[in-house]
Amino acid sequence: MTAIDRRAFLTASAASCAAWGLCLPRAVLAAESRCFVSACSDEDGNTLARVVTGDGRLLATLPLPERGHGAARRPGQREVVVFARRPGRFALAFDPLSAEPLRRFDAAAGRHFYGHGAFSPDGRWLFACENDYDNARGCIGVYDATVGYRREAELESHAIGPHEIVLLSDGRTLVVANGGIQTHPQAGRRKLNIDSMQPSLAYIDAASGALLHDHRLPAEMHQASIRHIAATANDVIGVAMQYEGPRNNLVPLVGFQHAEAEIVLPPSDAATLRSLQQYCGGAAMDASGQVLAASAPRGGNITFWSVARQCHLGSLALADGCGVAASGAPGGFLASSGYGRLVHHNALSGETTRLDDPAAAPVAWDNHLLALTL
Amino acid sequence: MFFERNLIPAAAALALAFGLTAPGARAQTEDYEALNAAIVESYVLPRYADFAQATKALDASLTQACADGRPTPAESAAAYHTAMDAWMAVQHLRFGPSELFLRAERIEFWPDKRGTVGRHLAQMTSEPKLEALEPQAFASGSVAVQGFPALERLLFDSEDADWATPFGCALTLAIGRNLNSIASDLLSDWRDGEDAYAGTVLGAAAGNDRYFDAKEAALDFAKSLRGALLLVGDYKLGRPLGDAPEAARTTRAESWRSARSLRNIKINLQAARALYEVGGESSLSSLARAHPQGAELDEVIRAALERLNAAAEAQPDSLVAALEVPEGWAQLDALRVETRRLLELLGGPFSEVLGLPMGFNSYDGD
Repeated sequence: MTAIDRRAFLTASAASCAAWGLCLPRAVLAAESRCFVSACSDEDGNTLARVVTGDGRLLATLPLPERGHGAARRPGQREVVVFARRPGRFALAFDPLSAEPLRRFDAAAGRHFYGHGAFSPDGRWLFACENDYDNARGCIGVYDATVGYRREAELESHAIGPHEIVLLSDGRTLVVANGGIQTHPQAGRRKLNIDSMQPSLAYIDAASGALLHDHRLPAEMHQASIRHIAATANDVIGVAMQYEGPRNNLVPLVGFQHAEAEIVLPPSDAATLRSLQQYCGGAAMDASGQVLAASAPRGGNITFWSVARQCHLGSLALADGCGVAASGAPGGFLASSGYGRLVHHNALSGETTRLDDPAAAPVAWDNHLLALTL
Repeated sequence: MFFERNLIPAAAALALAFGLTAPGARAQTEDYEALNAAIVESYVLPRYADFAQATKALDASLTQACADGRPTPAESAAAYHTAMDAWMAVQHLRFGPSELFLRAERIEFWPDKRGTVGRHLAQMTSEPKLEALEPQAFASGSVAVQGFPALERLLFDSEDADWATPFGCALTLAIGRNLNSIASDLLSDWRDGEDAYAGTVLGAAAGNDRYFDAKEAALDFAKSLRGALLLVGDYKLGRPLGDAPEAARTTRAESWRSARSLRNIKINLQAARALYEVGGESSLSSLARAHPQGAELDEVIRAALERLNAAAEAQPDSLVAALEVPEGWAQLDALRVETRRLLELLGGPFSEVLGLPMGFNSYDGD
């Protein structure tokens, strides 16, 4: 969209907003600027998705039927899909500038979403992590966005509990973090197989659903649930895990994986491990692919890791901080917390800026932030 | 209206008082250890002892009432109510021993959104098999028929005469015995032997297989406090009340057949208040107050708990009866709203001040 088109659009949408008696957008995006989407919950317990600008100002708010989780941007379109938090069943496509809902679609019978999905580069196919709970089987629902998100196919995730999914730069290889934990909606969020869980990082051909290769941790680490992943432009995968084993057994929870190589868990000192409190909540790569952010909401820290050197760079204390997303600059991240904080931190310069929008009603930010450029 | 608007300041207004990283005197390991010890000794153990005692009495009462083959509400209602009271006082402690063997669900399968209790009871009574009532078989059979909701139907549901048969009576006895067995196991798992869960909580400071540190054990109690209010606000009030008086559905309430839905809430709210205040100088309340900016927060929380309790006490025990009064729905809805507000405060500023992240992202795995 050219700048002129954009201006024309904004004028038109502002006019239609006014005509419908809605408020005008309080913040207006400059062309090509970055914004962020996150599910959240307001003080009355209403579940929402919010869009904020790079400097933290509220751009748009979308009510959600239930608590949301992750979101995916549809390439080539001004469109974002936000997913229900597991074991929820809704997904909602919306326009991030106006927060106008475009399409709601629900998980198929006998399936629920895990809360994450990824689009094909042409913006047509959406791959969503799903639970075939009666068969204790992980699967990837394939939706055609050009026909109202019709569910066209289902791929195996090749392990239990597919949670986060990314598409590699070839546009056809899916990488899926299979957390390994069996749940069933009738048992709420209860974990049913902690003793026998077998998480995996699966490389799957998006066209055929074939398992290309998968990666597991050594047997003594089978209770480290591979839950969140992020990829650099060169397809290095950053891994952030959650440990279900004995609480006094400190294990590394942040790792890297590339191509067909095994998962590498960089050794780190006990203090760093303790600061995670055995639980990572989210993963993101910075825009330059140099730094992995792994959030640890229980420990109240966002940790930063060098991709090249595969080591811990430093941490930012942020209580209940979970959402992380690249802010654009090398080393730069936006981070959000359940206490409503929004913070910009550059892991390379160490600079931290608080970004709360004092004019916006406070919310508890949900687990994940999505960065997108409009 | 029961509550003046905005008696609880918005969580945000209080949150503004705290910086990005709350400065000053954060509670120390010793504070959490003292808190844990106080709660285990003065709260958890006595309450589970009461529950074990009350279910033992229930078991005995049912046995006696069943001597003629048909227990009646007149004979066993008092014992049922006493046992339910004791359960309501520990219902929110959903960690440790209560997580094992589906104990919490077996004691009370609720909310029962799909009518599973009724369906499974009907199955059981239509094909009576006495061997299914043997303690081991019964405990490993359908979760839905093992606890209070099934017993409540058998005792109080007058349109359902299934209990008035020899098998119905034997089933009633099986439930009483099963409840007593679970309650006794809960108490002994907390209290007795080398692996007592009390020891796990009290020894958390050194780290063990359940707890990272003493603070994490304290977090289980903070979550239980929040859990009690969540149950009351969203499930016990929110679901039956609906969005408007005409949308109220009393059969969604807990224990509506025995006309004690609000009595349950009264006990839950007493339990929440006691959990916040138990332990004197080592209480959650004191920990909040010890923070430089926690005094106001603590006052607001204590006042809210007091008001919630007073408002609940002013109601009858029966939700149906409460809704028959013209202002009844609005009064209960106000109770629900204030419970919600207190929840926001606990999940937000309170948990931030105490460094007990029970709020949102850290509550459970995602």
